[in-house]
Amino acid sequence: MITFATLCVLGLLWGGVYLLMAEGLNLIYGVMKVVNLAHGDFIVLGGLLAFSLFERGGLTPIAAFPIAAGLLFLIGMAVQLGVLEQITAQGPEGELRTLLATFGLSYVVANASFLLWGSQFQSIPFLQGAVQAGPIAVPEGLLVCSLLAFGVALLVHVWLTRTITGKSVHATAQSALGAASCGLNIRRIRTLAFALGSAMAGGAGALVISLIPFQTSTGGDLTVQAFTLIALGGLGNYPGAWLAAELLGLTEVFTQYYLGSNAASAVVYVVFIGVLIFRPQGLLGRVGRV
Amino acid sequence: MAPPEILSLKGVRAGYGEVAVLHGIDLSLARGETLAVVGANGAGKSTLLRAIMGQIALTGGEIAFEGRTLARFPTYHRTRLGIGYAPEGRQLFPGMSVDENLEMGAARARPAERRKRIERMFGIFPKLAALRRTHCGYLSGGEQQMVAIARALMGEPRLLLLDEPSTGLAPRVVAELYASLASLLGTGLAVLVVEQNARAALRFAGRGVVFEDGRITAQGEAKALIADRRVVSAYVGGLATPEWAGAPTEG
Ligand SMILES: Nc1ncnc2c1ncn2[C@@H]1O[C@H](COP(=O)(O)OP(=O)(O)OP(=O)(O)O)[C@@H](O)[C@H]1O
Ligand SMILES: [Mg+2]
Repeated sequence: MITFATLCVLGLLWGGVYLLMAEGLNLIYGVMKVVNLAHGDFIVLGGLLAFSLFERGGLTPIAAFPIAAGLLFLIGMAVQLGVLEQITAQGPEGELRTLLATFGLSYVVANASFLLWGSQFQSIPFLQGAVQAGPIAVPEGLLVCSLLAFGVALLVHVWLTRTITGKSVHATAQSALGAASCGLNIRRIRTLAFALGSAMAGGAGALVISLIPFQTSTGGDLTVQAFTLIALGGLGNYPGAWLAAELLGLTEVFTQYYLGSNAASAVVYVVFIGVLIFRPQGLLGRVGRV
Repeated sequence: MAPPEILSLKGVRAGYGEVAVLHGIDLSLARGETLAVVGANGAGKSTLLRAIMGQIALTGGEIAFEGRTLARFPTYHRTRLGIGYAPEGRQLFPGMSVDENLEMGAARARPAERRKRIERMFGIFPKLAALRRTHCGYLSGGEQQMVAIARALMGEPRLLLLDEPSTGLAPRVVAELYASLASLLGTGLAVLVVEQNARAALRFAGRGVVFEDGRITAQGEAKALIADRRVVSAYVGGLATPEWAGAPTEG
């Protein structure tokens, strides 16, 4: 029973970290409809940056979080303005070009990371102790990272749905011409959205690297994972993304404990495929939603 | 003193890539004036509005708003200067409520001011008040068109550009819509409406322009144009080929 409760807590905490990973992409893909194949590489870049900040300057992942997020924000801005805004084709052709551009970007980012950090697995030892909550021992590092991730994801969510600037991101995604007719500078809004989504990826990386070691080539897996999460949650659907992130956290923790880590990743994808077959609109998505 | 002309087009040429659509349009609109541009499918009416809003680049000529040439301003900036635009296809934000759509129309105003303007819109389009929390994707065509116009008005423009507000609407709804628009006049707002539905637009407007293949082929008082059987039969009742080419052009 205690084991079960402990696993539940761990799974839910992992959900917070996954949520932050997926929410950046939810903004970029779910809202702005840009398939960013470099999202996982952004996460890894943020993580490896945090690693260097720890190694050189002794910064904790929490202190590295805003730095990694800030750097990725700038990179996101540059990518949107320098690459994605230059693609003027509309419709399927525009989508294909965007896809190819981010595919290329993924290579550029991954190889740049490789040149800077090599191919070894890296990790940051951070808060190795545990907090005792009744009979349950909660790892401190996971707890802190998870709370921070939850908090940031929630803040961004509130910003997106409650503030006029946040809403204008949705408006621009739903009709760029409509938004421009409202006097909104759509180029600036798209740049802000892409930069913010990238910043969330970078920040998430700084946290994840303190929980699980990763290397340059982990980016591809993380991209797939983030896309699966938002497909599972429903595009642009924040409660859905949160539920999906929790589900992933729980599934992973439980299968890892009972079936071992090799089985874990397989089971996670079986669950995902199941949901995609039976709930193709996502866990909370409504059919025919406009 | 501000120039009496709010909008002036001089020899405007524009098109899409190699395809020229507008072949030298001269047009001007005075403060508070209403102008209907009527013409068949593909005549270039929407293209005219796109050129005014900077959605397409001019290949010749000049467009000025309140005496200021617009050439270097992107679309959003033209809106900020005081041009409201309800584009073809309405271009609403379907996943957002009526309130939120209207909010966006005055995104740069202060929240209290924004709320005041929204209430004013419900005064003009009372039907929308009951729908304020409904997502625009679920509204009827007429309601959507009201939102599109109200959203364009939220920026408190001095010139309103409407692209076929009557498309897909029942005659009764069209009449209702134009009645609402008529209630806006007299405050100095100039309206340029583009329509295939010549009768509705010409009844609303003071002056009319007939568009054909990217050229102005007739213009004059709306009353006179509507009385001209050739204009009305060409654009009302679905007759595709106007037989009145060479209709009198008044200065
Ligand atoms: N994006 C575009 N690319 C290329 N050609 C276009 C484009 N949009 C319009 N055209 C062409 O320009 C011409 C004028 O089109 P426009 O949309 O201005 O006509 P319209 O008078 O608004 O017609 P309708 O009453 O059907 O809306 C047409 O021949 C059309 O095929
Ligand atoms: Mg048109």
